[in-house]
Amino acid sequence: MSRYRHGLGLAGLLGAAVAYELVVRALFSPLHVPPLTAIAPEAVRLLGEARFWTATGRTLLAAVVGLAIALAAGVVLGFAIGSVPGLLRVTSSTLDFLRPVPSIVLIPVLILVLDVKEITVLLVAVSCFWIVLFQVLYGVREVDQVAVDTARSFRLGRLARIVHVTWPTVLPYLGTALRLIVSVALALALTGGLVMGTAGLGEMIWSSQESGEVTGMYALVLLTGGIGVAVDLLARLAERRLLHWHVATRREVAA
Amino acid sequence: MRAGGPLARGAAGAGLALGLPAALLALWWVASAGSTNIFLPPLRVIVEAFGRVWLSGTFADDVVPSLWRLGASYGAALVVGVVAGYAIGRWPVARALTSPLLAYFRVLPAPVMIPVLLVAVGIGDATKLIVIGLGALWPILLNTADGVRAVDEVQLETAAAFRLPVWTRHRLTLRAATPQIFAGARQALGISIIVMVVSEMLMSTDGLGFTVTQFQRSFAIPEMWSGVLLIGALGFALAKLFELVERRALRWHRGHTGREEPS
Amino acid sequence: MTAELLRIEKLGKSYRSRERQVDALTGIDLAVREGEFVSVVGPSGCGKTTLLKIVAGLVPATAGEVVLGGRRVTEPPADLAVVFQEYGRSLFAWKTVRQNVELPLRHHVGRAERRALVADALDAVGLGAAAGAYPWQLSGGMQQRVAIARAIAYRPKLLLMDEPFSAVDAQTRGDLEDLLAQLWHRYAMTVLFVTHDIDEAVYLSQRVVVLGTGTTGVQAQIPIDLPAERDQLGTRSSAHFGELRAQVYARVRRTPRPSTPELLERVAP
Repeated sequence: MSRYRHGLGLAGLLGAAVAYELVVRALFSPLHVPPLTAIAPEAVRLLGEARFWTATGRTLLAAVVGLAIALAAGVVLGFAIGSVPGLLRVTSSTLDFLRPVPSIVLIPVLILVLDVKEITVLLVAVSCFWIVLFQVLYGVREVDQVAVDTARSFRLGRLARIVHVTWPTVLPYLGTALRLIVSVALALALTGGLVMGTAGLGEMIWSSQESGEVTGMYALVLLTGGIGVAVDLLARLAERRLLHWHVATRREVAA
Repeated sequence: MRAGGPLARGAAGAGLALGLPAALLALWWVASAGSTNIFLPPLRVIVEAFGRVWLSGTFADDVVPSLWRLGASYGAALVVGVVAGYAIGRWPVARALTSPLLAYFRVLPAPVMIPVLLVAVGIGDATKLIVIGLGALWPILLNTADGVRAVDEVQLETAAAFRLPVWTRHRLTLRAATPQIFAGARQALGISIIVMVVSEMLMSTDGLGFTVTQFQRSFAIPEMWSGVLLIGALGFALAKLFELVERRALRWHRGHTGREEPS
Repeated sequence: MTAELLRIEKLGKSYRSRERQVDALTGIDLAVREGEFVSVVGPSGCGKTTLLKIVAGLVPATAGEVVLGGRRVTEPPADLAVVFQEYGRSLFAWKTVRQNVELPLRHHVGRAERRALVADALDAVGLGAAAGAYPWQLSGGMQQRVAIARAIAYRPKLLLMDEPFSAVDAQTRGDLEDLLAQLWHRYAMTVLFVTHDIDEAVYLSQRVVVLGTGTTGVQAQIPIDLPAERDQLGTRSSAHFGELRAQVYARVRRTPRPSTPELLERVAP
């Protein structure tokens, strides 16, 4: 069955590629939309070039640094807000107001005072921060009262309860956050390159568009999607590692 | 809630809700009042600029086109996303055929499509419409597919046992999937606002993103700040509007699960 | 006669809202001697669970006091363990059976002794082989055994149990009741057992306390003079068991029931 499914998936990919090739050859000039048969070799060539890997490394570095900042800040603030009674009620309207504010509004403000590399990291951090913070808050809210009572009845102190009860409860929510933020982080690291010319993949794509290397640009975009898939896969793997007990719980409930 | 009647609770709630934002705004107002830093003008000056810039012709010239593009693209993404997501969620063959493709496009960031569309389609509105729509499409499509797929087997069998007409059965399935569809639509709204602003920053002659960038380049700092505030307020207002619609549409779901928000 | 371990005096608990005051418990007086097995029964909504939580130091009383081993209870006391009804929520899903049992001992007992205590407790409940499993891999009855093992490894003087067997099937329930009776003998604990099941209370206890609703306090204390050795078939079918059961049942029936609005109030505090 699974073999059959994978076969169909492969057929879907091939079908899409063939359809793209035919449509593009029939309707577009290769100056605007090059066929896959031109893009693919170009992508392979790029994979052998140092400048592609440097750019990828820079983009990923910005994404990872921003992500780490977001995780640290989100966890610390989430636990602080979630575990001090009343603090959530006072802050929730402010958090609700700030969350939907798109982080890229920061670009025009920050570009006056910071350099583009720092802004890119900050963009990533701010966007991911909200996701982490709200997931932590959901998680803290879901801490089971019976579990807390159990821990208290065995005289576990506040810190021990956070370590043994609250943290493991929040962990699955952090796993979800991690899965969500890796693609957000990558997207914003790339956007930084596109909008402000921060060195990296985004900038490389934009400059190849400006200099008219159309096929090269398409190849870069194709590869960018590949990087996205790899990063996403990595995040899912990390989540499963982190939550082996939890994923298994879900499987048992489903069965 | 244990305390008080609905009125007292409402007043206390409003006090709690408005307290911190009011305090923060007041703090900003006071702290920036004597500011001579050109990058951080007094809030008073920003508010003045806000009235001057956005309550005049600029609103029609810049805000309206932005909102129009956002609305059109988001609407199109909703229709396409729900229809395609339904098909993919409902029929295993469609799911198997598309799953690698979807896995790829889901993680391909929408802003990256801007230069591609710039070359392929040109600098007109069409590019912006497509790129905003693409950004919004994937979360809606994938959540719809997941939601449809997770519809309770018992419900489907009940519908079949009562020999309900095929269309009614499809409608029931879709209805059962609405909580997930809304979750996707909410995610998509945030993304499409971001993509809207980015696309206007990169290739436009009008729109919010364009105007704010123009102000920044011409060092019209209070005006730029007012634009930043406007984009922020817009994001907030649209999110609230969405929440209102969702609340109405999903009343049954909240009662059913006893939960306020799907996480 | 052995010494008194637990004394509950004029205990009251009321929840105050802006408009009204709801009395969950009023004027509860109860004493439990060392080594005794006492059950608390009463109609639903009579505050059994609240009483247990106050004794455990999890909820503060609003009147009267609880004294355990000569000390007034204001926070969870050291020589007390609780087994909750909701084993699925009381066991930590992210810890294995062994880690669950070990957790309360971490800060009090050295490693070697800890290992011995855990192994002994798991053997005592017949789960020695399941130490490495996660709770959710076990059946409901086995999960509750883990919770019991966790409690006895802690070597409490007083074991509090809040309807521990009401979420398992009848067959398992009988097995768990016998296991509990046997552990009570073996570890010489004092047990305060809250249940809504009169048969279960009579079968297990030396004394059954009938709790009234809200403001009525303790309705009756009925000594259970069944032989110390009991078994599911013989004991339950004996004539004396039937008499005691009827006696308790009559007292529970006579207790005034909470009115519907009061019950609703409790559901949504």
